[in-house]
Amino acid sequence: MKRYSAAMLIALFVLTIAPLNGQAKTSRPVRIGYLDHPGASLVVLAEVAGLYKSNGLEAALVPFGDGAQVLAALETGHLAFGAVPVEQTLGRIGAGGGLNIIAGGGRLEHDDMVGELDEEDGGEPNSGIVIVAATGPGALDKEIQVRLVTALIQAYQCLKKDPLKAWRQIVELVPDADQRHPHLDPDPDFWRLKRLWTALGLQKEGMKRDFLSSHVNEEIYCDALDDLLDADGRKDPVLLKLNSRAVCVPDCCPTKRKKQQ
Amino acid sequence: MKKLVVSILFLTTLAGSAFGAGLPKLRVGYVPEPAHGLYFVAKEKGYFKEEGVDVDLYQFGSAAEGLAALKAEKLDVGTFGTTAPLLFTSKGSEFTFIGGMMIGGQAIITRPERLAELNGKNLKVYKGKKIGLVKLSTGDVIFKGALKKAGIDYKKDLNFVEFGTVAAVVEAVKKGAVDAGLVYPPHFSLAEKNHGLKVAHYIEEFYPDYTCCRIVAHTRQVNADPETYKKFLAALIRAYKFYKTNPDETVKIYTKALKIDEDIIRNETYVKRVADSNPDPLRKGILDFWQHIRDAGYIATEYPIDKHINTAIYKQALDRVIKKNPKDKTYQAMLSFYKKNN
Repeated sequence: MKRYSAAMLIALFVLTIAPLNGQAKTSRPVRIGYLDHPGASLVVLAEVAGLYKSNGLEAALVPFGDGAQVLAALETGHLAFGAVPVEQTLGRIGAGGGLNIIAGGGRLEHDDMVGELDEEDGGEPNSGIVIVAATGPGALDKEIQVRLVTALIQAYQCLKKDPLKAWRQIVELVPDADQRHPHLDPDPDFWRLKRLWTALGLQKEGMKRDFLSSHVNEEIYCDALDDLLDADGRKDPVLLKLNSRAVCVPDCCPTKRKKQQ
Repeated sequence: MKKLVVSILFLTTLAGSAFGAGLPKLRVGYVPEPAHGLYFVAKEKGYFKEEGVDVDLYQFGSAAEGLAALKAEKLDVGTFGTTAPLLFTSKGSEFTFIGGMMIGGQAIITRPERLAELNGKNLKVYKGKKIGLVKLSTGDVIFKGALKKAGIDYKKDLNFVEFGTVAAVVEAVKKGAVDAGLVYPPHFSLAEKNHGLKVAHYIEEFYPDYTCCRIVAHTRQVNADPETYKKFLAALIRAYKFYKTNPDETVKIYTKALKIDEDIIRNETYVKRVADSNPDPLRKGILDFWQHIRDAGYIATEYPIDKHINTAIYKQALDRVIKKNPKDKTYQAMLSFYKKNN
């Protein structure tokens, strides 16, 4: 309870200061809202392990007690990014919220296999966290979004390579996260989101067929992963596994021109 | 004299503008590949305007960027591979495949000393080999499709190494990090010329007439104004005839538009004939390609992609061109090809 009160106070403080400028530079703090949920572990680990900094981002993590508040702060420009429950995010997107999902976070493992299978079959969705970017007044440009997701993928690498150390690093901000067995994955996984979207009955009559895909920007994740794979010489098994699961549009023809520019 | 020159220039400009004025406009996106050259021919030879459509060409650095522009309605039509429009469409973008731009074109390269062991016309030579590729590229999807057709369990019998770019695939082949690599034009010609690598096979040898880059447009626009798209495709059909019958001038047009070595363009287009710049929609090929994507496990969800393929507009455009040139052998061959592949 104490922890939530503190989180609320900090959130209130952040909401009282001016909204971000749409053209914010990386030298200015990039405000990221998060919840005390194991699915937000990558967001927290990226901060405590200095991964935002190493990607040239000055991040300010803002704890919240409720996903709706994070979404509201994203839409009003008080946050640039948020680690938010997936159902709430999809619900808000379905209601017209100006939000884009740019990466996955994590979810609690089901207690039994049946739960997982139910979800695969379009049944009751499992709770989890996704990384959401503001598209309104707090929106930051694509390059900064790619850097943020790069840091999250690196956090995932840390967790895979030395889980004990990683969990120890975040224990103060996300207590007992390791005990709650989260399944972490920075891939936004459009097709999983689509299944949840359908299961939640969010595709309304008359709504464009690409309504959801317009709010899931997989290109950010794909670019971040591609940059890391290139930097590593495509050797890291963790990155290669992520790459084998990712469904990215191939960088056709005059390759990497956009990045060279 | 000066006044006269200025007046002539002014009148010429005016006449040029008047010729394009009032015509329906199409903003067309493409990626710079030699096999996408029908656009340049149709533009250079004035076929678009003769058919009654004013086309502006926009070059893009990647398929994803081009399709994002199409989705945002900054383009009316575009050619950005096959995988990318299929992915976008399956995720909800309302695109319709109305034609094609390239058939074939993918090659398997290797180091010269490995050429002998990859010899022959049987895909079994690739069993147990490490193959570099760009994930979800046409080469990736079609090579796996060809292996499956040949009864080879590629998930078990081959080892695929995914790279982010075709340049990285070439580099991996050069260094011996992989046994062979899947690349598209003009990269295999460049790999041969610049690095001494060799083409072991063109995938066409195992999988004839497979689909590569398709022409896609907004479904809503296609349905609302099929006539404009018919004119657009009629111009490309005429450009195809020009490309088939005027090699020297076509090479010059491609070279000017793409700024690639003229010899490479001539070699790929007319000597080795690595791809056919054919505007046929190739409906059956698109459906095969979609199945290969699904078989490879890239997309788990079923989707009726066929409802996004419109072959009627191309057929009507071809009929119109044939009506004006009833004895033309190239157009008759295109009609036979259409009947076989759609």
